[in-house]
Amino acid sequence: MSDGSNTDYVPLLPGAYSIPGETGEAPHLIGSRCRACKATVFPKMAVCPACRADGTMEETAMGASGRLYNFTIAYVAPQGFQAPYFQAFVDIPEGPRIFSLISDDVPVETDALEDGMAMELVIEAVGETPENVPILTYKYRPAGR
Amino acid sequence: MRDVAIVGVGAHPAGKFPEKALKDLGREAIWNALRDAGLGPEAIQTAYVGNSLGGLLTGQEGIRGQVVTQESGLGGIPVINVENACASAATALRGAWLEVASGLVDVAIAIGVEKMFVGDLARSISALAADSELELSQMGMQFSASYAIHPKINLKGRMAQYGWTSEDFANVAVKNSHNGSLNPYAQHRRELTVEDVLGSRMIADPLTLFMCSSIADGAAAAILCPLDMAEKLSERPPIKVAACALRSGAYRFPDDGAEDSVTLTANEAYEKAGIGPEDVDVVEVHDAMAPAELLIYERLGFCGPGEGPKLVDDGVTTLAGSKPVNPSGGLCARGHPVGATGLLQVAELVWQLRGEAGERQIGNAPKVAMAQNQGGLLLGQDSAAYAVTLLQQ
Repeated sequence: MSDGSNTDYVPLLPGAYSIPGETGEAPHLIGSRCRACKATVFPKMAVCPACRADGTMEETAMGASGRLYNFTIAYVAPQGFQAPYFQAFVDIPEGPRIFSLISDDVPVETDALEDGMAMELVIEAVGETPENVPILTYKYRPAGR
Repeated sequence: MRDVAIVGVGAHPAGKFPEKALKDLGREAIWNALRDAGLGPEAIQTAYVGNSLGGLLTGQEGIRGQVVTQESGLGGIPVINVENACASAATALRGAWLEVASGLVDVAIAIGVEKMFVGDLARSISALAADSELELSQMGMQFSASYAIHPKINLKGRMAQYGWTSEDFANVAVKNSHNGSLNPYAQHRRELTVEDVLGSRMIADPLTLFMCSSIADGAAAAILCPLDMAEKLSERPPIKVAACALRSGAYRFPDDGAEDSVTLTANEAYEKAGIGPEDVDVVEVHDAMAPAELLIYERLGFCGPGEGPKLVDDGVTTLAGSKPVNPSGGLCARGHPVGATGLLQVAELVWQLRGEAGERQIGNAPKVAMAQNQGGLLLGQDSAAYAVTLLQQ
């Protein structure tokens, strides 16, 4: 729970992405950009991993869109996830290449995705807490659906 | 720094041993190593104990090393608990090596032990996921799938890039299953065919069940002392620890062209030992998914980019080849008890160098052996720990 007062949802990774309705903005990831060397990372970091400066990292919105780097279908899943499910890496225009799940809108079939295709970010449920509160996280889906 | 030798190795087979606790597995490996060295427990002056998942899986969150050493008659000595995911055992070996090399002690033991069968497979699999940085495991990154698509390994991408095929992948699993079938310490002793491997169920496209390592219990230990002392202790030719290289992952940016961390670690080891890849006679590599072996060949300098399948096709890396890789069967056949794997590799190589590997003994009187071990996954897109150990006779 982000602030302890909202019981409509629980973010899986607090502070790593915008929550729809909370900010009024289009969904985006929240990473860091180095003022000194311009390196961009996701998730956020305090010390720049490229130039190793401390105190130069600034929070920045990113990843509203991206390109699919590659993907696979996993037929076994750790606790809390339902197989079969997609696993993917997405290149976002701000720089990072990030691990992501794929939206539940996309049928879990090999030909539903293609390397290099344009993707858009969604914030979506990835299961729920024992108290039936949805757990929200970021995922991608093919753009313009 | 003094030259250091391995004077004794011992192992507990990898597999499913419901009746045995962590300390039982460890005790058997330790006592096998003591007997192999011809030493009693009182000779051991310090112990480094590698284990990764015992806290989550057995509930013994702290002092796992002391629990194992006390059970084995090694009470009183300094015990250092080592956790470095799948590279815990190689890291323990480095600690023991450093103590002997520095002159702090004369006889040290490195132990790797893991208990993964706890009666609940889902719990074991989730514990494994905890060896990745938390955000990745929370997001549901699946371990086998990461081998298929993670940018640093990207087996699916290599298929597109180099024309590698599922058959190429199966050939590695088949080679290693043959080796494992000859190894009494191996978890899976059934010799597989290409059809078996390709026909087994899909785990994460393109990886099928028999291309993936499974969960296992197991343990291994190595006893180290100064090289000159080893020469007096035993008639057998001593096995010198020529290099113990250890690195952590670096934060990687997409397509930054930086040298792979396996290569960086291997190069550090080659330089320390004053040898090159062409001098290595026998190798154990960290093939948590068998096809990764193809990529590791190039990263260790055994072939050029994309040429891995040719080494298998030409038989170079089989038991009878000029550079046998994974004579034990590797992680998929011998087994991958996570925190024990690095020392199971080292035990196998010591047996091979001594000519004591039984039916799977390689020919050509090997003189130089290499173990490559790695573990964990960071958000910065590198593994957490990389180890390369070189042994020389």
